Amino acid sequence: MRRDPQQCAHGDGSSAVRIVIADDLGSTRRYLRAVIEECPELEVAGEAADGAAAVALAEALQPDVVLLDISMPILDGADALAAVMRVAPGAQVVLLSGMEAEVVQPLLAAGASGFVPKGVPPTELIGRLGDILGRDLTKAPRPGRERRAGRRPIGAPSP
Amino acid sequence: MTAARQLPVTPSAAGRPSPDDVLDHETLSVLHDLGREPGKLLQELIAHFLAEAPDLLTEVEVAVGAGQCDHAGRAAHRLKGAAAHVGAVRLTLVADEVERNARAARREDTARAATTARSELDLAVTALRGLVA
Repeated sequence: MRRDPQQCAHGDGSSAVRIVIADDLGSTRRYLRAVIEECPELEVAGEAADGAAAVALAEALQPDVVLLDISMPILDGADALAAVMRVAPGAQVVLLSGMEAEVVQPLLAAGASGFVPKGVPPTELIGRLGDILGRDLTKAPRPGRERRAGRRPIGAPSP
Repeated sequence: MTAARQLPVTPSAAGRPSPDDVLDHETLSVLHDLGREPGKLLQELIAHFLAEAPDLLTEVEVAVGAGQCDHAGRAAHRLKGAAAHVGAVRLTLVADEVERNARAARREDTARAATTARSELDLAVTALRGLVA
């Protein structure tokens, strides 16, 4: 699936989907926040840098979605998933990983709502989140984004 | 540090990375355009990478030296993620190789891949510093 990276849907009047980002790498959290903030239908509720913090934040904020790295310090993988599901039963847990499907599959079977590979471009990240949430997040651009759509890649040769 | 707007001028065809490219220019272009202030996010991500990546590779090397392949695999996994977020495509691939070898407990192969990763990290750091200098 390849969609325009600058496109996200406008809200339909309903409240934004509140997301907790849980990843131990600051660069990953920053990237995810930037992509999520491109979508009017999505909102970053908080960030956690380890599994225990993710559980605490999920319990305190009761977000709609926890974007959960499955390899984090203190608490990770199945243990982190189970703990988040216990303290925030209304949250959908979306796994974030650079690992193979066989690592992720048991966690999906254990109740995770979906899986987003690490390192995917913004378009694919939003598309996958939309698929998992059952929303089309790619319809309309955020105001001011259209002007940058269609730009040739930096470093690409001139036409 | 200035905004990351002086982006690479070593084009590959259609913006796709070639095996010779240290950085993926298309990824950099997308990152450059994300956010309200073009270039700011990319600059922040590069700063994160420059702060995180050398320590992560050192962690890999120390763990391999101590025979702790599990630990090396986890650190390599994080290095792979850090590299991917700044379009350091070759380092991403080598870090993945380190991770796979480490998770399979192939210590010698892990050490060999980590040596390659050190060279690739140096190249990526130089290229990325050039973007924000």
